[in-house]
Amino acid sequence: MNTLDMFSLKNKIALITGGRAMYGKGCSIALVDAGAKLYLASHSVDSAEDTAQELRDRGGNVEVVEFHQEDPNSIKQMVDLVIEKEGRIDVFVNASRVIPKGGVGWFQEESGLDWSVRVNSAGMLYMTMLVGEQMIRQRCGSIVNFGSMMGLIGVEKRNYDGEPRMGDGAHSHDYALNKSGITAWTRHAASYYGRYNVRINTLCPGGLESDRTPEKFAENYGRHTQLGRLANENDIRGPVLFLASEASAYLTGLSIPVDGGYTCI
Amino acid sequence: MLNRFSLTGKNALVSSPEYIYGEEIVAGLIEAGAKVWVCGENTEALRDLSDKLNSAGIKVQGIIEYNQGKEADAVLLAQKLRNEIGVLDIFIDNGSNCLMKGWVHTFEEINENLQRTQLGLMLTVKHIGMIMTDQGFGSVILISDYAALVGCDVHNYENDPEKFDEDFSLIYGFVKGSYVNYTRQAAGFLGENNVRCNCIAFAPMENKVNEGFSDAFIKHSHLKRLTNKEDVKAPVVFLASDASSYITGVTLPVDGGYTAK
Repeated sequence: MNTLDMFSLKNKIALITGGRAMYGKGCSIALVDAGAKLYLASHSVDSAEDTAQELRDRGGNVEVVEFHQEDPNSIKQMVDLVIEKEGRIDVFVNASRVIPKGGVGWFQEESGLDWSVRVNSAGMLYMTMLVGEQMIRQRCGSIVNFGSMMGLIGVEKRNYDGEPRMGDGAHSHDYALNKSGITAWTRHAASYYGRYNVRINTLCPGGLESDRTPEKFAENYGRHTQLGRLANENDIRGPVLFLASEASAYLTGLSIPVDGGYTCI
Repeated sequence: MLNRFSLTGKNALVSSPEYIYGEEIVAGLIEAGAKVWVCGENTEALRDLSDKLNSAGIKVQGIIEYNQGKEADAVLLAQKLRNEIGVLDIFIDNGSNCLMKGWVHTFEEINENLQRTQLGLMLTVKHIGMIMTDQGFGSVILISDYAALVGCDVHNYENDPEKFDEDFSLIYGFVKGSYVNYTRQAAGFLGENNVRCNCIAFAPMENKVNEGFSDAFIKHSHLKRLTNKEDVKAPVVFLASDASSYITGVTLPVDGGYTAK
């Protein structure tokens, strides 16, 4: 096989959650550019349709599926629908999460933390378990989770110099707990799924620049990375395609930082 | 130098000591001189543990009923600690060992189990942390196991399907591993007020696992044995004491080198 063909997802069925915006959108672009048929699952159908149209405009074969990660019936219906239509799921990218409301940083309140545990932890595990069951039946598949560089290290307070409100928020409980769990669970699940030729890996991206990113924060953060900048949506495309495709056929259980060298020092 | 390891004059609270490692943790703290209270929802099990230790001359100060998982209960616990104990030097969470078995579960089973080990942990550490930051000192220790650092190896379970079911619980690796970076995160908030947060990742205990698993595990560890009681006590006392006063945000493997290879 030609080396570049190992990155191809031609004739593959891919499912992504949280694939309509930010890092998730970068992943969606990579998956369709590589030739996969993409099911884009989202709670926000209208916005997902806009993304789907953009993907179709660049030649992608995309279908939007509505689902709500806090609702087990909705999760099961979403996974079942893809299996019913295609008979298989080759790639699952697990990029959705909610940001809890109620209390900031260390003072986050029960309602927000409860919501985060239900959606980001229980929902994520249940959803991946269901997709994993299908991949076990197929005896192949690649699961790509979204961790974070903040699942690998603690808070650097200097990043928030000049942005005290952002700094308060950085001490939240649920994000570090959830993302740390995803990294460890990836190793654990890799051992469970390996017997069935199902691979599972995690991408741990760094901070993503948006039009709302305060200039001072971007400057502070950039200084902490080795490449001198925050990430953009395109930075995730190569890594996600590598993990999704046969190019990474002997990689499983990994959490790969995609963080411009933030965690290497 | 040895007096820096002493816990004389310090008050400690151990949550969920009825699970594995808990008895040794409580005994170790008391043997090092601390006054120890225990808390949890199963007061009967706590009373049994307390009676067992008391009859061996190791006196537990008191039992506090605490249903981890609700903020109102965490607030009540904090009030009780401020009123009845006053100063809290040491808090140890041993609740990560309350996990369901098996890989395939319903959403509600998963969520219910995470209420205690994730939501409950966050709420407890939040309110205990507020007591300690007000004091300006304290040591929080989260108890996990080696699965926090490496995946459990399916090959270790070839002669022990029952333990496979236990350790390959869908949420086992997630919960154990979530403690590692949560420890760093909590250390980041608490540190400015001289409060430390660390985690210990133990290997399985001897006499608590059967021969099939034990043989396989030992084969892959450097020290060729499982964790014994003394292996639990000493690291807990070290991280609770002033001997570790410059250590925070760390996950300490106590596993005979299993994760060092």
